[in-house]
Amino acid sequence: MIRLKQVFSSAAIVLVLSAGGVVAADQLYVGVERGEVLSEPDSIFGEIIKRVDRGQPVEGDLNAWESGRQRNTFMEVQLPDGASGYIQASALVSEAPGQGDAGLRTSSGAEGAGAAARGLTAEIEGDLSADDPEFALHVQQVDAIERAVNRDLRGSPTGSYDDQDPAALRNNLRRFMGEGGMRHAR
Amino acid sequence: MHAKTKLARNTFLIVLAGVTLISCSVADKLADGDAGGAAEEFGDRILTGVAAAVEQGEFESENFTPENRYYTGRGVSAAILKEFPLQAPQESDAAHARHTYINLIGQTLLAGGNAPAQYRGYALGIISTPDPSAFSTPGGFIWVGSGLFELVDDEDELAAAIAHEAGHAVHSHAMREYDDQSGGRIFASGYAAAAEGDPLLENTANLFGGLADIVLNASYAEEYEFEADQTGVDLLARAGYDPSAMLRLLNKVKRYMATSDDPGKYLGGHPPIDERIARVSAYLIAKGYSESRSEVRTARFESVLR
Repeated sequence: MIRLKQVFSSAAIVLVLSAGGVVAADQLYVGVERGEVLSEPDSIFGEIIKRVDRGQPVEGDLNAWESGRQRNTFMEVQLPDGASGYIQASALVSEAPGQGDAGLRTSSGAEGAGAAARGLTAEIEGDLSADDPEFALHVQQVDAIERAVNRDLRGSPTGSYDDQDPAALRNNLRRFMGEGGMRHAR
Repeated sequence: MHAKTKLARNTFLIVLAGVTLISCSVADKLADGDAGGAAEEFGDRILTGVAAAVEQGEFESENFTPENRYYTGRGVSAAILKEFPLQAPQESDAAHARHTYINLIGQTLLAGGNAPAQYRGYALGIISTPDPSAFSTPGGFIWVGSGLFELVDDEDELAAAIAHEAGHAVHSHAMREYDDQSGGRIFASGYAAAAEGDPLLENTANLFGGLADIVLNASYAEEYEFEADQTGVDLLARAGYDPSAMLRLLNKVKRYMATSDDPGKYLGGHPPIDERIARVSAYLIAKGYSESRSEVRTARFESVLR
């Protein structure tokens, strides 16, 4: 009888643990240009399972996403190829990128104000730059800073974010920390 | 409904009454001889739309995607660069070395903590100002004032200043402050501007202006400044820097403010420095952080900045 009880208890524990490991099947999308799915819910120094691009669909728990992006934590996701791992919740969005932007350029009144309230996109930045040469000049300076970071830290030969060497940033940071006698503490 | 939201809605309703007068569609209907009815109908449509948007939290930063935040941050950064000249990395080898150095420090701090993912990662730049100031914007941009290089004595103190700004980034303080204040002046000015031109562009430009004002004048709620100090201490510790460098930095800022004829308007918006020092001291003790200075890092600092 005791043996039977132990078997049932063990089975229950296995079931609970299994349920905890299942990723709920809510549809989310990568909202940053480049994201990384890691083997552990830790810093960017974790082992990379897969690199994902903006718009890539992933499955995850919507509640975990909501709470994760509030607290800047990682969440578990499953990729279309079946692989699963952890990604920063703040890297994900609930609508496919681009879907919610339709019609913004031609909007006016309340819709236009709503678009402005959410900031802007590359296209609207272009319009603002055409309208205001001083703004355009300062945006070019921001571009110059980003290109320098992409070249010097992200290993991009052209300075474009898209051309970065995926391993360069973490290698540069590891070297910098090593030279300074620093170690990342969990 | 939150009182601030009510105020926001009422402000929108009043100001938007003017927006309807310049609408093309209203002008078309005016030409058709249906002036009053058309204006009323169009006005109602906008008012209903705005009221619904406010109710649904459309204007809150939670609805900003990483892309929205990134381009908002570029616009706010452009406003900051209008105020302070950029020290471009391509100006000289020394400028390039300084730029790379502050980025390595900043990226190290942000990689080790729970910083939000950004659309195109984080980027730090150097601006010319005698004040020991630094600013962070939405979307992952941090601007470090050259005056800081004169104030600090080692890499860990410089890292502490950057860590404070990184703390603002971690908690999205600029966007949260924007939420807190958007019931008032940002949207009011945005809608007033909308009456004079393209609503989308004018409102966007005013959004940048409002956010830049928050960032530059440190008009954060005091609790956000304390939170940025504490998070900064944690980021320092996680990256392997000396967490007590935050305390040393604040004491130097205090001395700077006491001895400078003009401590700079950009430091004026922070909470009383003595209270920040007291809170950071207590936090260091509570977390059990100990001092861990490094001669290697100080030598590295001096080779780049001295």
